[in-house]
This record gives sequence, C-alpha cells and structure tokens, in this order.
Amino acid sequence: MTKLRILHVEDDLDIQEIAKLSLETIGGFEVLQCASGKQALSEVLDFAPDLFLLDMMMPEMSGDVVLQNLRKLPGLQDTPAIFMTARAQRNEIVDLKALGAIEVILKPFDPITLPDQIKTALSIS
Amino acid sequence: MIAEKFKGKEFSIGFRYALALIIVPLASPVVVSFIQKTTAISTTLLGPVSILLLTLAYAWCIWAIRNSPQFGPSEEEKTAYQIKALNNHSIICMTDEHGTITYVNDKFLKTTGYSRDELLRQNLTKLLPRSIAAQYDFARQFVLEGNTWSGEVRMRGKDGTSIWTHTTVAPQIDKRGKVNGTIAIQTDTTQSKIAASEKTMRESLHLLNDEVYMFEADTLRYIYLNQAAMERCGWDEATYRKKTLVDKRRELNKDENFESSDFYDRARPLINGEVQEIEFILEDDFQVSEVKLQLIHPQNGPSHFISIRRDISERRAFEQTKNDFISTVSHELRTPVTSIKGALGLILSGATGELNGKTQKMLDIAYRNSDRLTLIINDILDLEKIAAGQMEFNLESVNLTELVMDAIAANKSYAARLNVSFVGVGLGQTTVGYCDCDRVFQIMNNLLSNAAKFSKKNGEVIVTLSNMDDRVCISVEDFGKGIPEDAKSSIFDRFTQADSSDRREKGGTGLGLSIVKALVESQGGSIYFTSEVDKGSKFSFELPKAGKTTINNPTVGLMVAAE
Repeated sequence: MTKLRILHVEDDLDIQEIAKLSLETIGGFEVLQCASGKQALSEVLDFAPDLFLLDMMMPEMSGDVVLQNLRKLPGLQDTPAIFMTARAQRNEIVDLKALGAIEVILKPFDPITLPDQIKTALSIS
Repeated sequence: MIAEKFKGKEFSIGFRYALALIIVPLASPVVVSFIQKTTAISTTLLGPVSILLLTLAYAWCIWAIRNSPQFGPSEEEKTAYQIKALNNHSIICMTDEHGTITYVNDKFLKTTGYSRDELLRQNLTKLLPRSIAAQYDFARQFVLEGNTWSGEVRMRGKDGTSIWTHTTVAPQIDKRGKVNGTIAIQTDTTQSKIAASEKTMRESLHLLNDEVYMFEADTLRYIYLNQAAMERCGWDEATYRKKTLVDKRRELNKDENFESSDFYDRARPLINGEVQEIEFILEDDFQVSEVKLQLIHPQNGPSHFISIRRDISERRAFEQTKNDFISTVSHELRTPVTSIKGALGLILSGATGELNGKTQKMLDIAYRNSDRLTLIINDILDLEKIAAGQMEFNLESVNLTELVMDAIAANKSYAARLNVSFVGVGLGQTTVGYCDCDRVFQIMNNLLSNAAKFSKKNGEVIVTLSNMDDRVCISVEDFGKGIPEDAKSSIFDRFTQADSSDRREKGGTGLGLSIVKALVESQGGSIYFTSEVDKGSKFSFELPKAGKTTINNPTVGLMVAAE
C-alpha cells in the first residue's frame, strides 16, 4: 500500500519537527515540509501530495491564501486540505471550512492522535 | 308728546347741524324785533346788528355741537366696533353656572376645530384635558363667586391636539346682580409656547459633540443644524437653510450620484412606521460614525427627519486593538505550548525510544504541567473574550438530557481514578433547553470535575436535571469537603480556591468557577450554591427556556449569534 503523501506548511520549525515525528513515525505517512507558502508553491508539483496540511497564521502568506494558490496549480484543484490553527470558536471553524478545508485541527495538537485525526477526516470526506 | 318722542334718542351729527340751520334763521326775526322794541337802536344799525347776532348764534351752535360728548361714533357704533375687534382677536366662550356652553364665537370654532352644534349645550370639560380638571373646578368656583380668574389653560382640539391659551374668565352677572354664568376670553399662545420650547431645545443641542441634523421630510431641506453639524459642513445658518440632504452628500461627501431616492429607500422602514429609529454605520476616509435616524410628525408643522451622528472612530480603533490583542496572544501563547506538549507527548509515547524510570517520571511531570499551562491559557483567553464582548454564543434548542449524560460519560474516568461515581437524577425523560451546547458542556465539565475532586473517596456525586415552567435547572451535588463560610462570598472570583493547598494537590487553575458564572449569565441564566463544611456542596445553575433568553448582561456585554 502506497503511503499517503502530505504537504505540510508550517513556519515554526519546532512544530515542524514534532509533526514530522508524528506523521512519519506514528502515522506512516510520507511528508514534505515547507516553512512558507512561497516554498510550498515551488516544491509542491514535484511532490504530488494527496493532502495539504496547512498552518493558518503565517507571516507572509496565510494558510488560506496558500491553499488558494496551490489550487491554481495543475492537478491540485481537488486535493483535500486541512487547516491547523490556534484560533477556534465555532463560527471561526465554520468560516475556515468554507474556505475549502475538509477539517480544522486545533493547536496545540496532540502528536499522538494527529495521524488518526487526519485519517478520519479523509475517510469522511 | 313730540318732546317725549325725541327724548333719549341719539341725534346724529347731520341731524343736529340741520336743526341749527333751520332754527337759527327762523328765530332771528323774532330776536330782531325784540331788540327793536326794547332798545333804541336806529333802523340803519339794525341790519348789521342782526347779521352779527346771526353769526354769533351759528358760531355758538357749531361750538356746542362739536363739544357735545356724542361727537364721534355713537354708543351703539362703538360697542359694535368693540365686539367686532374682540371676535377677530380673541377666543370667546360663555357658559352657564353649571359649565354648560351657551355661546362660542367663530374664532373659538376655528381654533378648536369643532362646529357650533357640537359645542352648544355640552359641558366645557369636554374641551379640557383630564389632567387639569381640578384647575378648572377651582377656577369655575372662583368666578361664580364673582371674581375674575386669569391663567394659562391648555385646551384639547377636536383632533386631540393641544392648544395653549392665555385665559381670562369673568363672571356673567344678570339684571339682579346675581352671577349666572361665565365668560371666558382666550388668546391662542400655542405658537409662542412651541417657539419657546424649541428655542430651549436648540440651545441644548448646540452643546452636544454629536452632530444633529433636522430636515423636512418632503423636500429634505435642512431646518436645523447644531453647532457641531454646522462646523462639519462649514455652513452658517443662512447657508444651511438653503441646502438639502442631497446637496450635502453631493458637495461634502463627494457622492456625486446621490439622489433623494437613495435616502428614501434607506429610510423606508421609518416612513412606513415599521420602526421608530434606524441605526447605521457610515464610513468614509476619515472617520467611522454611528448614525441614528428618526422621523418626527409634530402637531404643528411639517414632518421632519432628525439625524444624529456620533464619531465612533476611536471606539472602533480600540475594539480593533483589543481584537488583535486577543488573537495575537492566543497565537503567541499557544504556539510554544504546542511544541512543548507535542515533544513531551511523543517521547512519553515511546516514539523516540525507551525511557528509564527516572526520565519517565520527570517527563510525566513536565507533560502534566504543560497540559495545565494549556488549560490556564484557554481559561484566561475565555475570560478576556467574554469581558471584551467577543465571545459568540450560538443559542439553539439543546437536548439537555443527552448533554448531561455525555458530560457524565466524559468525566467518568477522571472520577473513577478518585474512586468517585456519578449518579444521574431526572435523566429519564427528555428535557430541552435553549442555550449554547458547547458552553454548557464546558460548564458541566467544570462542575463535575470540581465535585469529583472535592468528594471523599468512594463518594457519590449526584447530578440532577429538572424541568421548571420557564427554565431548566441542573445541579451537581457532592458530599465532600464543603466550602468554609469565609470563602463563600468569593467562590466565583478569579484565582481563588477555597484552600490554596488544594491547587497543588488537586490541580485546577482557580479560574473555573469564574468562567462558569460568566458563561451561565451570558446565556441569560443564573448560578448559585449551598455548602457546609465536611457535609458537601451543591452547585446549581438555571437556564431560561426558548424564547425567554435575554442576553443583556450589563457587566459583561456580549454578542450573541442565534442560529
């Protein structure tokens, strides 16, 4: 069975490390990590991800804008996306989903259960 | 006989002159012959003497007539003039001694809008507002005793409008000198009264910082701008009276395509009477303003709009800063905590390899505390959100029975670790409440974990859900430590725990109950408790049922989104 390929965009390097351990070791996914939307856009086509995992609050390009730009690229219009954010009142979650995400994962996230959360979200969508 | 006929009659001027013209010449030959006979005047002197006498006689007649008191209009004529003048200027009404109207002049009818038929034989109280009944009775008695009363009287016209008058009431006296009625003479002072009160109002409006605009409903022409409004527009009174709302928007707001229909469309609910006031926000390059618009239909005068504009730019900027602060802090605090918790969690899960006992123990401590840190951050941010009015509540019909059961289930394992069990009461039937599901769940979590925490070992916590007429009540009762008297009054305050040693022992941030209280009250509910040391505590909160929720907590200030 081929591993699920996840493009993870996150500007905080510590969180990147934790997420990498969680997604690769516990989840068994294949992960490409980028620290900015710009980096992601230049590397994504070579990686061909099955899922975008995007941090919302990033300095130059916020998660939703990154998603918009990713979707413009060939073959990526329908790739599912999950946002990660520290801000989450119910209405904010609804808004985020309206931007095109299948799920919103709150920070601080639990690295142990993160892979399961992703799998659940994908199977529901 | 002839003399009797002429006696007492008023002779007109013309008649008197005519009389003199006839009598004097007739009398002169008699006089002349009398003089001839009694004096020795020669015949030649008789001619000139006669003429002299004639002239003197005429002169005397004319002098007498001119100086007679009846020179000028006759008494009749004078009275007629007076009555005419009175009728034109004053409002006149006569009543008998019981207050029944016996006469009203035309001006009375014109002013009040009644017809003569409607008023004659009616009691005067029909025209007076009930509030001055006492004043009327006193005045009537006073006048019937023979006095004249004078004062300000407000009458009610046929259409219900108020008519202010300055009134003098005099007694009517019959031939025998007895008072048999009243006569009231009134002057309409409504206009000057209105003018006076308007003047006072305008002076007050000039003192406001807010801009006040009044403009006619039909033409949108300005009838009043207060000081602040005139300064904003750069217009003086002479100028603004020539301008309309359309002029203002085109010239000053640079809205070249503005038409009066744009305004009328926006003001439609006011014009239709659907609402009393419209509020909206106007934003331009320089400021944000809150505008309140009303439509006034005064009794005397054309309908007009009143628009009051308040600069809320500062308030907005402040709110924006607060918003930004909360979201920034939220992000800044949670990011490092994510890493701490995440890293520790991974290590503890064995994902990085095996751990020896001491390492495990230390890491456990670190992990537990980073967990607590997360809770504290969440609590603080919640409280700040509530206080800033930024917490949104989604009120809806919620199956509380299910919610309570879910909350019990969620806290079961935590309680089990303390050897405490939950017992549900009143969960046999479905009870529906109107509240924010997530927030009530949060409240339940807090109360249940508190109860478990403070229970004795092997204790029970009783959770009761009861249905009352207009509200539902949930209570959580434990039989543990209880709360000492001196701690009771501050139990809902921030960062208090009945016993500070508890905090270290039992965990918790000390913010729980203050958040619970804020959440309950924000949804229109109330929370209270009873407690006795070593006997236990019972915390209960009530929530209103659907349709009865008022979210107007003055101390908290909230936004509510109803689904």
